[in-house]
Amino acid sequence: MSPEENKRANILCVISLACEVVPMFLNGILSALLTVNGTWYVGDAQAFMESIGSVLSGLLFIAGIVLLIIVRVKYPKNVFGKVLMWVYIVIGVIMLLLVIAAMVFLMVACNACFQELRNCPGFLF
Amino acid sequence: MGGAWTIRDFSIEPYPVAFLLSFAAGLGFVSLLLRRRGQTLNIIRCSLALLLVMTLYGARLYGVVASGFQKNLLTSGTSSLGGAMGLLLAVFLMGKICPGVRKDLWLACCMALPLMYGIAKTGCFLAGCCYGIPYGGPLAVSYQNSRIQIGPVFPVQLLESAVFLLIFVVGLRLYRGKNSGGTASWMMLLCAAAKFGLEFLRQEHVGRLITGNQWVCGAFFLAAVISLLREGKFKVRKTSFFV
Repeated sequence: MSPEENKRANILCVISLACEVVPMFLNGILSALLTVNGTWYVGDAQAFMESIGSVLSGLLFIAGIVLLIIVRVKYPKNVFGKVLMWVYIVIGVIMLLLVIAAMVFLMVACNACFQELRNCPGFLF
Repeated sequence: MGGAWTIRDFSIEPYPVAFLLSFAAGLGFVSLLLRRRGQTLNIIRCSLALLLVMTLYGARLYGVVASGFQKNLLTSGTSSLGGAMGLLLAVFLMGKICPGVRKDLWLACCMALPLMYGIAKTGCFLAGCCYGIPYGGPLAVSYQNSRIQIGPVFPVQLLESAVFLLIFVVGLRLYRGKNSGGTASWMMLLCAAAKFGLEFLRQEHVGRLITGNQWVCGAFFLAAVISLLREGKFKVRKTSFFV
């Protein structure tokens, strides 16, 4: 791989990393930009802005993944690309494990709650 | 409630389990087919990553749009049609990045779609979402769990599951290795027609002429017909299909 190609791949990796990091601050940025006279949108407007924020965050996240895939397909020998890929995989696995742990915790908590409720006189289930 | 089955709470939530299983089966199938068609491991890994992310995003985004942007990606429901659109968009993107994989990935995804949908729908049946129209005949089902108390209703999710798994088997029969032109379009056509028809049996359809899902299915059906016409595949094969 030529130095120019390596440089191009590194730039793509940096943009990919930025795409993954920016969504973490996107809601804060949106609220700062869209606060009117010190008041954040309320009701439907707030839900709308949160919705748009989440859609934009998702798009940026996907853009980051797409850029990394471009690097891995077109410049497979780039070291930054390889490292970044493993970083994303490790973060993805940790997130998945956290989600599963949260689901198990919720399930145990709900079962315990229903068990307690069943002991209450007048409970329907 | 007559002789209807009654579905209550499960100790393990069935929907996430079916959802994960459908992804594992679908992406596993795509991976196997790509490997059989000679794609490299690097391309397969990249394709699977993009398919996974974009399918999930599409499935949630459809819910966000359907709610009129009143829900966000975390609070909206999961839509199979949105997921299918995300999957097909991922094929398009991957085809742009690596043109050599486009045809194989398109074929693999169109074949995997009914498999994923068929498995996911069993989760809907057990959880009680996407339920059918009021019905008191054989196989009617009632839901009496902590989330929903309704019934008896038509077990449309089970029927959807059976129909789409059958379409998957038909796809396997249509598949002819390297020379399997038209299979992807036929799969898309069958899936769109089945989903359009089965939508009439869903509770959401009551009081409506055509639902939003049916419009999307109509668009998929039209795209499949155009694709088949362009490929010249609307003629009967000489080889017997069921033999």
